Amino acid sequence: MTAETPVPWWRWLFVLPGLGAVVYGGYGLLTAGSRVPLGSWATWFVGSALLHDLVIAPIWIGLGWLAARYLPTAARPAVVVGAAVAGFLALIALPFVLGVGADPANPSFLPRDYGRNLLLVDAGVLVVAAAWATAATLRSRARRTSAARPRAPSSLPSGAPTGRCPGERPTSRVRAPRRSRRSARSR
Amino acid sequence: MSNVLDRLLGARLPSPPEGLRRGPLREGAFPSPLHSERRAARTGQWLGLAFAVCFVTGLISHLIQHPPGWFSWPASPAWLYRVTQGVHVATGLAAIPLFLVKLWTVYPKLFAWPPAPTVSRAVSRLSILVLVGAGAMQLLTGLINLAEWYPWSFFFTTTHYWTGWLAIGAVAVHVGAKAPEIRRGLARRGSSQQAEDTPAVSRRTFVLAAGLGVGAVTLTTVGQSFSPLGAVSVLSPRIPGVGPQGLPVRQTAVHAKVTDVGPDYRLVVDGPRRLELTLADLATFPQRTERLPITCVEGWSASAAWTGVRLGDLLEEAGLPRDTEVTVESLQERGLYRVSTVAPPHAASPRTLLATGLNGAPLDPDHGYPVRLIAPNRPGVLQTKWVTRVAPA
Repeated sequence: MTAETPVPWWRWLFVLPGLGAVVYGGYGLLTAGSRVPLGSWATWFVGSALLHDLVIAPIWIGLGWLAARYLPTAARPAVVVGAAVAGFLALIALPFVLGVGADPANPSFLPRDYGRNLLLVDAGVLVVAAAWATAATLRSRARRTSAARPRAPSSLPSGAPTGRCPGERPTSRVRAPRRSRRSARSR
Repeated sequence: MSNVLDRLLGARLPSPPEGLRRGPLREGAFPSPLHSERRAARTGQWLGLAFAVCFVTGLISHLIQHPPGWFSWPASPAWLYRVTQGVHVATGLAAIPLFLVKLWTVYPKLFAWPPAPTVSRAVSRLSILVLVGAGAMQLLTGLINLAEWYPWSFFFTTTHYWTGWLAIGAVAVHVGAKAPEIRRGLARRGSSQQAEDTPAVSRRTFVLAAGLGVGAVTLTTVGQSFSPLGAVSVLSPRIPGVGPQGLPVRQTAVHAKVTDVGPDYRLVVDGPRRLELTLADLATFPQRTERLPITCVEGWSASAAWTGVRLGDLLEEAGLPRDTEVTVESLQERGLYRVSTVAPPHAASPRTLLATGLNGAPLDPDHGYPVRLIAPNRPGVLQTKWVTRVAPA
């Protein structure tokens, strides 16, 4: 990880114009006068970063901790994807749901029922995620029990039908060896 | 000289007492192998691209509204600004999930121990505050601005513009500063790739969550600019076909305090032959109908059929060349967009109208009754409503 990597030649093509843009932006903010009160600007500048560092990220990490503690391993991918998508949508829709800027004289602005729509979309996302999580958990349990079964069929000649009916659940039979190969590599 | 600098930057800073190293500061507090250089670099390249797109499209919008001498914006194609501004807002919204995912990959670094072993580490961490602060502020205030909610005392557009320079500059410095890490992270085979494939939440899950997140945010909002998806985008703050006469409104007549336009209304066109026209006079000029989009700086846009008199016809009647740069003034007495300047390409365009009708009916007060300017390829804030005077700039 800490192996020395040569510094790419293009580094300065980013650093120097970047510093120029930062200085230009800073100068613009400092000279904007009453249009950009610096106290309010600084509050939002630091506050936006802190909103992530102290609110959004800890909530997500906390949910992850709960998931790792209480959810079966096989269910976690589905739950992570579902929670992330639902969370992103809630975040984006929140200012519209709150509707602080809404104007009764202008029905073309915020014309929808954003609270209801967000609820429906997020519920849909979470239901799909829950179904996926359940299916993944059941599949992994079935795989585990079949792996734990005594190996009677192994005495049959190769190519002969195993304990299962022919054609039954071919996917899990195809998938099983790939899984084992992957876990072998990880070790 | 550089020796002194090296010594200063390399100077060791005292470490806080080990007893304070608790919670997220503990070693191994963040076990997922996806908090990796590789994930950070790969997410970062998408986020960097999004910031670049937002910066360029934002700069275009700024230059159109505050054109320096060297800048000229064409009147054709009519849909160009609609696309650049729609992309600006859609990319900014899509960047929110990307930004959160990117920060997740590097979140453990926030709790590095010791917090700053050397002066150079302290400087580098402060520079990260500039990067994260500028990026987060642009995305957050941009989103809140779409809701026309202004819980701050700065002027949004000015602040968004200058902070945009800060943000793109900080991104560029970051890319340069992290060049070796980025090169390693983007290399075809990273040392961390195997580790990333094994945990319960795998690299694939990570990519799927980020990709579906961006997709979901885009799909639920982009219909405000891309009308075929208008019905799908159930979280968009505008619907292209919804509003008075089937068109959304940004500023209402009530808000602009232009509600009592009476028969004494006159449209004045200054020039060698000054015109003072009633609505009946205006109706004697050749009437044209143009299908043109109205595009708000907030990203939404919608096409409509506008009927009225060509601006060029009026200028000619007033004894001015058709490509005269003119200012167009509104009846509204206050407001930043009371007056707009029409540059020669737009003044001369045969599609630029002083419109009195919209979608086959007289203009609704909210759309600028009695007369509004509608020109191709211009931001909505420059499509002055309730026009009362046209004068050479």
